[in-house]
Order: sequence, then structure tokens, then C-alpha cells
Amino acid sequence: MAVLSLPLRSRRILAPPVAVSRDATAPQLRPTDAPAPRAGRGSRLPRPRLTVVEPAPRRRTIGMVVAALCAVIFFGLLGLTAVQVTLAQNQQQLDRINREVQDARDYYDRLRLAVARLQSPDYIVPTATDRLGMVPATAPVYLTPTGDVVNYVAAATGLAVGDPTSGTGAGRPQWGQVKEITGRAP
Amino acid sequence: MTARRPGGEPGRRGKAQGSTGPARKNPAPKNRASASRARGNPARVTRAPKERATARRAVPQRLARVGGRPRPRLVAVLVFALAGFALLLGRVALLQTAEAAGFRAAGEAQRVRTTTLPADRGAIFDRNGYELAISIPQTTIWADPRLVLDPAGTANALAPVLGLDAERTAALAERLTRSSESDVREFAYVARQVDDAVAEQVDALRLPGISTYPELERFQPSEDLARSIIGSTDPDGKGTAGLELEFDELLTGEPGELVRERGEDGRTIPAGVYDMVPPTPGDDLVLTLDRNLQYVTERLLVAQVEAVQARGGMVVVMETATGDMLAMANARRNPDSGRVELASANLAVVDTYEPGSVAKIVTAAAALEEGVATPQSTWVIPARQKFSDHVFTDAAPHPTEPMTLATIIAKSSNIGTMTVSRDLGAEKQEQYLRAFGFGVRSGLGFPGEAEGILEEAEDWQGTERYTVAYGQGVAVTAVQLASAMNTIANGGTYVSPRLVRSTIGRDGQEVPAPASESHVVLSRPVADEMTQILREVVCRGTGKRAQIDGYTVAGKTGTSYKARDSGGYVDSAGRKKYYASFAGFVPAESPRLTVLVSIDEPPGSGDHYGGLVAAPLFVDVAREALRSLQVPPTVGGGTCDVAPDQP
Repeated sequence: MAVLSLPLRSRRILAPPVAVSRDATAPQLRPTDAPAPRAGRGSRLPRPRLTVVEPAPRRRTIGMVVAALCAVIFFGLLGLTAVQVTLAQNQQQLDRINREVQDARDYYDRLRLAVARLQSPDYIVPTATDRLGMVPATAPVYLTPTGDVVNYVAAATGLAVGDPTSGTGAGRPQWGQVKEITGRAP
Repeated sequence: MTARRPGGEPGRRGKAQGSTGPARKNPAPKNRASASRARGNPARVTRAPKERATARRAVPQRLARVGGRPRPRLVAVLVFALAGFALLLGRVALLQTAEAAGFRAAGEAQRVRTTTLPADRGAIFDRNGYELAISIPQTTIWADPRLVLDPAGTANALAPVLGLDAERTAALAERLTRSSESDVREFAYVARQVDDAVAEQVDALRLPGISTYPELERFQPSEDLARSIIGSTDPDGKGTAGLELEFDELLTGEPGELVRERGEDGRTIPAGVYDMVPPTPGDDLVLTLDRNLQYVTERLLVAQVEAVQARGGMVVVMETATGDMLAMANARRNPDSGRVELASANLAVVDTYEPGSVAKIVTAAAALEEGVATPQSTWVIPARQKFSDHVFTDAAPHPTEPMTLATIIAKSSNIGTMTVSRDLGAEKQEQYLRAFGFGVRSGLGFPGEAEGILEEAEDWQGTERYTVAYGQGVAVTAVQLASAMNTIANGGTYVSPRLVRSTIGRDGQEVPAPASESHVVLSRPVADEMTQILREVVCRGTGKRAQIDGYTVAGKTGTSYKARDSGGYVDSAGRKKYYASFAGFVPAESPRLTVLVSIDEPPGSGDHYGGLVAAPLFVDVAREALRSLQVPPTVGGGTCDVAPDQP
């Protein structure tokens, strides 16, 4: 079995294990790849006085910071994703509600038209005369109420007898209330 | 270290390779042993570990010899990679800076959609809040001819759904067909404003290139009711006639706009572009019309025109104090079918005719107001008399007899009226005619409203000077004539008629329309005297058929010649055509309603007088109006002591 050997000049002095003094004034010793002084060539550098020191504490702080940063990034991204999902869900819900509102408005309009048609004389008169057999009054009899009756009715209803506004259709006031909130916005 | 040594160990290499040939022909050293084993060479299997190690070290050496030095190649690869990366980086930078706006715009153009939000056209209500015209969303079907693969097949598929006949189906197929490759039409109507059921059927067909969108359609729930007044709109919702045209700007709202970023599926992209300007609905109109009374009036008019075999007719019902039009009906006989139908034009406003004897109220009132006469002032009136260069004859023969002003009006004596007008003077005659609203537009502002014809007094020539006194030689609209009668009913104050009672703004608040313009024409005593004279007309004069049980009625009949288009009143056969009218108000002692009835071209066989063909319709209409407005009967009966059918 061949044994490989290096020439002496290529040998390097292996530095002792890292022994860094905690003393700030102490020279810092590090493993070095610098060639060692050649043996037998003359003076040798004085070796610094070596002392046994405790191993340097492992710098866990950086690791923890990195880990925390990763965690923050991870949870941040997770949170962003959650926010995005919520946003999308809410947007879909908003779209759906807008569609429902629009459908409701359309439905309201259609019902409004249907009611108007059902209330129109074109529908009521033929229904009354043809289907129900009603006939127009030809000789109406008018009753003249006494003053007491007039006052009683006026006090009860707030309307004067013969007030043309009594008994009229009441569609417009309701419309005034709903028009404010109706529109064709989606 | 051994691998760096130039050259190699040929013996060992030859031993290792054996008869398998040069090493460069077999560059897979790690497979070489197994390959040798496969070839059944046991020497290869028993090779010493040292040899194997030496063989492994020899591989890079061989590679170096085969491919050259790797460092330049690696550098070249690195340079190429860096160059490519630099190119990519440059391109990215370019995309993010100089070209960013263009790509952003292109992207937004794909995602951002701008939709016009149509504004609701204002509704039209009657005075009680019933809808007369409203806009309802419908569905319009359209096509992109570029996407229609089979125009004829598409048209045939749509035909049964849309109810198209063969001709219209062919026309639709033609619209869907691109005339050439250069035809870039992107839009063609298939059917506008169809109802939901039809739209769903079309959607279900899933025809390529056929799409739908919502569009408002104007509806009049009561069909033909007041159609001549309300008017109409075109399919785009723009007013084309009647009040729809007159108040088009007010009724038309302001469309809104929705800008939103949407995905491929049409959904809104969250946190994307979303900007909405909501549409502003148009204002609503609240008319003075009473829908039920309008309906009854129209039916009664059609029935009466049909009954007397006339050409047409008009009825105007006004609220005395305000000038509000409660009903306005127009009927005309269809020359093709011969049936009497509701006219599409508001003849009461746009058509003029000579009012005839109804205009005598102006002459009499002017004479009273100017002190020329009193109700009891008496003139001796012959049955025939010459004015200017023409001999006039009263409609009803009578001996030369003294007549009071009241009698002249009650018996509708033309000669008596001309006599009074002669005493009044032409200028005063014209002044009062204008004060009563003749010759000027009524103020309704209705599209096409006529102002009538009333010349300056100084331009009256020949018999015209006298005929205007009894309503010939002057032309008015039915609304003008009703307003003139309403002036007397209203105590001598002329009130402009009006059709719009209020508007409802976009906030739902109702804003009353300005009150009608008014001016005093007669003093109250003169108006009261005229009322008494007009009561005599109904009780003892030509308008006895206008009596209404329980109510006192004041009014005036009128039968006028109808001017021919060619001029004059008589055709080549010597026949004349007439307008038969009755204008009155009720209850006479406290007027609530003023009603005018004019029948166009009643048969000229003796039944063409206003007191015969118009007065009965006045009764029917007024009775319905009184009931509708809940006007109680006159205390004490209020009827005449002379029955309608007594002479």
C-alpha cells in the first residue's frame, strides 16, 4: 500500500484549536494557512502565551432572528392570503347582493306595472260589467247630512265633506318614499 | 495529484480495457466493470482496489484530453449566462419602465369594463297618483355578425321564439350576414325590448353571436287612456309627442357609469378598479288629469260621436278655480274602418275651429262690462237683417221682436248679438276676445299647440266685423273656448289652463307646479250677471238638454259652420258642415267644473245643433265629474222650472 507523503516545504503548520482570549488587548489568534517558518532556518517567532479559554458561545441570536423573520414572513404571507381570500369572498358576496338588488328592483318595477294595469279602468270596468254583472248607476240618490253628522265625520276623519282629496288613489305618496332609494345602480 | 500528471499509465489502461478497444471509445468508466462482467471476463471482476482507484483518477485526465481545458468553457458559459441574465434584466426593466404604461393600458383594457347605467325615465301620474306612463326594464337581443356562424340557421332558430314571419326572418338573416370579409359590423339588433320569457328562451338557444342586454321600455298601463295627451317615446326612450316631448328634458334622467375590473368569468376583481357614478332618475310628472274621469269621458265621447254619426269630437273638463284640466278627450272616425277611435293627436289643443255661438258670451260680457248694456237692455231684433253687404238670418225663425240681452243670448240670436257688438265697437270686441284667451296660446305649452286665428280689429273686413261677435271669422282651440267659459265661471278672472300639477324630484320630494297665470277680465257683478244669463240658456234657451238633476247648470250652445280647406263654408253641392258645441259650468252658484263638448261634423239633417248633440254629452260627462270630485248637489234642488224637453 503506497503511502503518500508531502515534501517538507509544502507542509504547513496546523494551528492549534482556536483559542481566542477574551481579553480585548490580547492578540487574536486564528488558524492560519501561512507557511510555518522553515525548520532550521534561523529564529523562530516567539509563541504568544496561550491560555485556555472557554469555547466561544454559539451565536444563536442571529439564528433566532432569521427564524423569527421567516416566521413573520410566512405568517405575513399567510395573513395576506387570508385577507385576499376574504376580499375575494366579500367581493363575490357584494356582486351577488348587487345582482339581487337589481333583480329586486326589476321585480318591483314589473309588479308596479302589473298593479297599475290591474288598477286601470280598462281592466276594472270590463271585469265589473262582464264578469260581475255590475251596471253604472243611472239615478244616484244623494243624501244631505245634517250639520251634526257633518261635524262628526269631519272630526273623525279630518276631512271636510265633499273634499275631493278623500278616497283618491294613494300611489303617489308611497312612490315619493321609495323613489329616493330606487335607481338603476347595480 | 496523480490525475494532474500528464500522460497516463498505458499498461494499466490497456490491462483494464483488455480487448475492448481504446478507452476513449468507451467513456463510461464506472460502467466498464459491469460491462466486462457482462462479457464474461473474470479478470475484471478480480481487479485490485488500487487499480480501481487508479482508474477513477484517470477519468478526468481523459476528459481533459477529450474536451480541452474546462476553465475557458466555464467562463464562457458564465459570460453567456450573465449576458442572458443581463438581457432578461434589461427587458424586465424596460417592461417595468418605458413600456409599462402601454402594457398596463392594454391589460386594463382587457380587464376594465365601462358600463353605462341607464337612468330611469320619470313616470307620469294622474292627480291621484295612478301611473299613466312608466318605464320598465326589458331585454334587448342583439347580434355580433362577426360571430354568427350560420346567419340563416340562427334566424330560423330565433323566428319561432320572436314570432317572426318568413319575411321578417329573411330580413333578420340578412342583418346577421356579413356582406364581405371587410364587413366589420359588430352590432345588429335582433329584437328590442322583449319580455323576460322571450329573453330566457333566446338565452336557452345558446346561439353563437347572439347576446342580450337590459333596456328600459315605456309602458302606459291604461293602454289608450289619455294617449293623445301623454304622447309617446321612441325605442330609445326619447319623447316624440305630447307631454313626453314637452317635458322630455325633465323626464330624462342622467345616465350613470360603472367602471370595474373584472375577471374572465365576469366577476369583479377584488381591490381592482371600481368606480361607479350612479344614474340620476328623471323627475316625475303629476298631471292634473283624473284617470277615472278621463276614462269615462273618452268612452262617453266615442259613444256619442258614434251615436250621432259625427266625424269626431272633443271634450275638455276643467277645474274652475285652478284651470286644472281634469279630462281631455279626442275622438275621430277612422276613414278606413268607419269606427270611431280615440285620436292620437290632442285635437283639443292643436286643432282650431270656429266656435260659433259659444263666443257670444264674450260679446255679451264685454257689453255688460263696458256699460253698453245691462241684462235687461232691450233691442228690437228682426229675423233677418243686413250687416255690411250681407243679409243675416237667425237660426230659429222669429218675428221682429224686442229682445233683452239675456234673451239674445238665451235664444242665441245672431242678429241680436251683432247688434250688441255694433254698439260695443270693433276695438272693444277684439280687446275682450283676446282677454278671454282667443288668438293667444293658452299657456299649456303643449307641442303643436295652436294659437287660433283672431285678426286685428282694423283688419276685419266686410261682414267679418260682425260675424266675430257670434263666433264666425275667428278660430279657437277647444281649450281656448273652455277657458273663455271658465272665465265667467271663475267670477270674471281668466285662469290659464294647466296640465301639470307638480313634479317629483329625484329625492322623492313633490314640488308643486306654479299656479296658472290669471288676469281679471270681468268684474264680479258682471260675471254674476253673465252666470244668470247662461242659466237662462240652460233653463229656457237653446241649452235645455244640458240640465242635470240636482245641480244648477250655466252654459251656452254653439253651432258653427266648419270652414272648408278651399275656403268658404259651402261645398259644390250647397252643403255645409258644422261644429256643434256646448260649454258650461256646474254648479252655477259655486262653480267647480267647466266642461266643453264639441262634436265635429254632426249630420246636417237638423240634429246638428249644439243643444242637441253636444249638450247631452255635457250632462253625462259633468255628472261623472261631479261624482268623481264628490261635489254635492245644489241645496234645494237647483234645477230649472222648465224641463229639458219642454220648449
